[in-house]
Amino acid sequence: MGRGPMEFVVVEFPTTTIDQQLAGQLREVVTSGLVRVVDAMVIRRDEAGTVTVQEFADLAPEAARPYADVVGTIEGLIADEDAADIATRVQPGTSALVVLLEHLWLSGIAGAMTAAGGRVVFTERIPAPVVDQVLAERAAS
Amino acid sequence: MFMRPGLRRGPGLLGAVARTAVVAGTATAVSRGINRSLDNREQERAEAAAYEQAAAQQQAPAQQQAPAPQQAPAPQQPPGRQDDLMAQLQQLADMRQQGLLDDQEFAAAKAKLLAS
Repeated sequence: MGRGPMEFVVVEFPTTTIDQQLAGQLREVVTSGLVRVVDAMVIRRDEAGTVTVQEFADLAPEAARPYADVVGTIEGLIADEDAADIATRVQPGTSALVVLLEHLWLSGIAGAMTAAGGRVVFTERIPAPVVDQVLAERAAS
Repeated sequence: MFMRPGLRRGPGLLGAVARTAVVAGTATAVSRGINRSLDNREQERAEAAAYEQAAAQQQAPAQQQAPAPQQAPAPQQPPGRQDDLMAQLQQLADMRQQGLLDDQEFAAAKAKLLAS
């Protein structure tokens, strides 16, 4: 069976430790079966700009524990060159949680679309803050 | 607690998206999960358009180069500028797409290009 589309989500935290609360939110969508975490890593950039890529297997147990039932099989799909690309976006002095999500809910839709001869010509995610801003502007006009 | 993945070698997902978008001329039609500046997108669109033109013109010469695919990826211009590198990487991807390079040759040529 074909895989669903995948999406990188990279969340930067202003500290050298990754956030624990995010794990709870991720757990909800993973448990729902809509999304699967197929790969994850932590990218740190120190003040000097030196980048460290850390596997979940190498994280301190207390930092990794909340993610234990969220991150499934780490497939290693995030290649070194992906990590290098993402690392350029991480600010010095911060840590970024890199998660590769598979949108399971989209694979059925994609199959039906292909079977019907359709093709995706455009897809764009609008960040929630942008949606809020546009709605506020419309309400004000 | 967590499995350790194998080596994170091979083609990256992000690079694959960029190559597919350029080769298929659908740079604007690909969702980008990673935030990019608007300027960046405009530049990508321009590059994709320019690439399509170049690809159309290069169709014939590319086929003449078929007997010596190893020579083709050698940079003709002095490398260094990011644009040149991108263009050359795209050319390599295109040659692989056309079957002029197999995966191994592509990987070798790409490594050489990135190391230069």
